[in-house]
Amino acid sequence: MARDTDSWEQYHIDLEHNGNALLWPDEFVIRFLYGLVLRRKQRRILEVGCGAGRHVVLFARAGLEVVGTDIANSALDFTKRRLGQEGLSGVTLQQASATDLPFADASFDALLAWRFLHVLDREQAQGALAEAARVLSPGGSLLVGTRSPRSTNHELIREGRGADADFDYKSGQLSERALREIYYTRSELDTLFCAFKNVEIEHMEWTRQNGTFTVAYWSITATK
Amino acid sequence: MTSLANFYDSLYGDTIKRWPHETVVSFVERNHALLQRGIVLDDGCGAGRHCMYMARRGIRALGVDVSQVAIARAREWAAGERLCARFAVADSAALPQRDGSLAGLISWEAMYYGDESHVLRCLEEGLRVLAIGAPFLLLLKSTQDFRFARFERVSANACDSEQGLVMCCFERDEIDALLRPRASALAIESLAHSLHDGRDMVWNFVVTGRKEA
Repeated sequence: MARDTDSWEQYHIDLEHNGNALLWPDEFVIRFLYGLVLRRKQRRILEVGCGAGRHVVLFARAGLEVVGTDIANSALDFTKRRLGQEGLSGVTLQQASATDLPFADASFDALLAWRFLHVLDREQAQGALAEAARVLSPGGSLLVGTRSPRSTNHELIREGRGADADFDYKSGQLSERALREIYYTRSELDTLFCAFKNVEIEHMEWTRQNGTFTVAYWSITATK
Repeated sequence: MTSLANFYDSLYGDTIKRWPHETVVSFVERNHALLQRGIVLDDGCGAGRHCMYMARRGIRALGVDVSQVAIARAREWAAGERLCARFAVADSAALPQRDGSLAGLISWEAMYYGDESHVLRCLEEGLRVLAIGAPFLLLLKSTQDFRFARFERVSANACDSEQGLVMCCFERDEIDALLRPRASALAIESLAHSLHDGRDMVWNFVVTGRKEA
């Protein structure tokens, strides 16, 4: 089953305490910002599941009107402190579920949901994408990241060792926590994103532990 | 070298990369105590994003690049943010530093343009200037990269690329054979992503270790 809100609260508290929160933007998200959002002159952007706020900071620095949501208030608190430290203002942060966004239809020109779709169950994932479609304006840009079946995690789960493997930034050590995740195939993604136009699906992967452990994600860009 | 310098000059004319790559951040954090012992070279630093990150983390960073435009951008950026990072135009195949004088080496997205002899010379130079025990991080191109199959092969390890520059690619075992006798804690990781709706794979190796010989 998917993690509940309390466990996400603790997850972000632990990340901040251990100094393991991701602080720098992903290169796929940077390409999305500069290659699509800014080129299309889109101004209002929502990040669903903004976590420690690394992409909220990126978007705010690019001068966009930014809204970030997360299921965990601890993540939003972290992001708020970081925005304050960096002197960035004008960002709205709001606790919300990805499947029930508190925004009117067509409120945003662009939406990012980066690397959390796999922790939702299938029904929730469909709900989250329906919500993304609802709050995006026509022609709005979407970028979604989610784990792919090439992940070693996927093999561990199939072997019955439910795992959410995270790597400690400082030690490089792997820690595993019991968790069920969904690793969509490319054809499943085609179905999941069928309500969008211009769907492009890219794959990214990197290894750890001298090539023995693979971390793999899909990156899906689309237009409403 | 002229065409390589021109290529990089054109890259840094309008836009520059400002955010450090997650892999480099992780390397710097994992080796922070060692890197703080002296000067860390970012070989092929471009506009200086990784030097700037290291400077913010209290590391004495020296960025070198064959592109004068890139170095000018990096200097402007560092001055604007009052960060203490040094930059110089230099050829990776003939570094001006003394043997064993540096506390760390990063070469990110730089050590793959050129034929095999050029890239191996750059690698040799990087190792030469490192102190014994100093950590290094190299991004090398894999033969699994789509260009290696798509473009004309100019030697066993080198192919043309879409930029019109020769690109040198390695097998994992080749990197292991090159560096295993020279390094401790050697790790060779893959770092890959697709382009063009999954049709083409860009494939790199992230190589880390500490110089031993």
